[in-house]
Amino acid sequence: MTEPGRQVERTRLAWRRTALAMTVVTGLLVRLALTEGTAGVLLAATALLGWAGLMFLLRPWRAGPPPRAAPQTPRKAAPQAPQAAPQTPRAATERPPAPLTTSAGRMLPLIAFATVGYAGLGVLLVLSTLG
Amino acid sequence: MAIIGLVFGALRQWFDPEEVRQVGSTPDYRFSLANERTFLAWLRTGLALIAGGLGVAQFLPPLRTAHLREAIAVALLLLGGAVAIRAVDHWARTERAIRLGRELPASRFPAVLALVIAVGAALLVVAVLVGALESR
Repeated sequence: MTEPGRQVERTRLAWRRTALAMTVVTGLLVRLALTEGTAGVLLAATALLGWAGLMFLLRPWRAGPPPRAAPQTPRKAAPQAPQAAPQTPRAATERPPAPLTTSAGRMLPLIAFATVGYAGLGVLLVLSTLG
Repeated sequence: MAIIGLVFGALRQWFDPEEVRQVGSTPDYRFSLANERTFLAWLRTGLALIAGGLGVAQFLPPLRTAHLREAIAVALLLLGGAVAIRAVDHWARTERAIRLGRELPASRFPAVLALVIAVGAALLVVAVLVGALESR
């Protein structure tokens, strides 16, 4: 069932594109770090761990709107308003219809600061080749 | 002192987007999603700059001027990081404006960034031409 404007779907695709860009940056960073000896290997491992953690945390937004089969279980640490896109027939529930959104809340600053972190690691690596 | 307050306030907004939800009223979800997609597009721009910096550091042969390659790489990396930070700030401020029914925050940043990239590209063209002329 498509929702008007396909906003949820387009947001999901935007998250996937961004995750792809992060993966590319991680690959470049790891490749550069591995030329720098032992410290570089540690740095590469850190970058890979960070990438894996991010990809895991972002799964719900990359994989599509949260399923609505079990309306009683909140899927993640999202507070207040229930967030579900009713695309499957809703199970009978006393709660009013959930707003149609999958806004990613805390993931936004998280991925932004991960990006800044990658930039910082890159600067460290480049400067270390000078010294 | 005021700057510290500003930075702290901005940091709070960035790290706790749930706090944004305490402001104003919940808008049409499509506006929030559109704002989110805009943020992601800016983030990809920052990531592209970072990838460019990492690429320059790894794949560019050393240039004639000492450490010029490293300087370019660091400049691109810093620019990418700045774009990422600005993306969060703009997202938070836009979300607030949408919830409060105000005008969206105006910004010169896109124009500034475009100018910086254009100037950088022009310098590259000059560098390539000069290098080609000198090696003839």
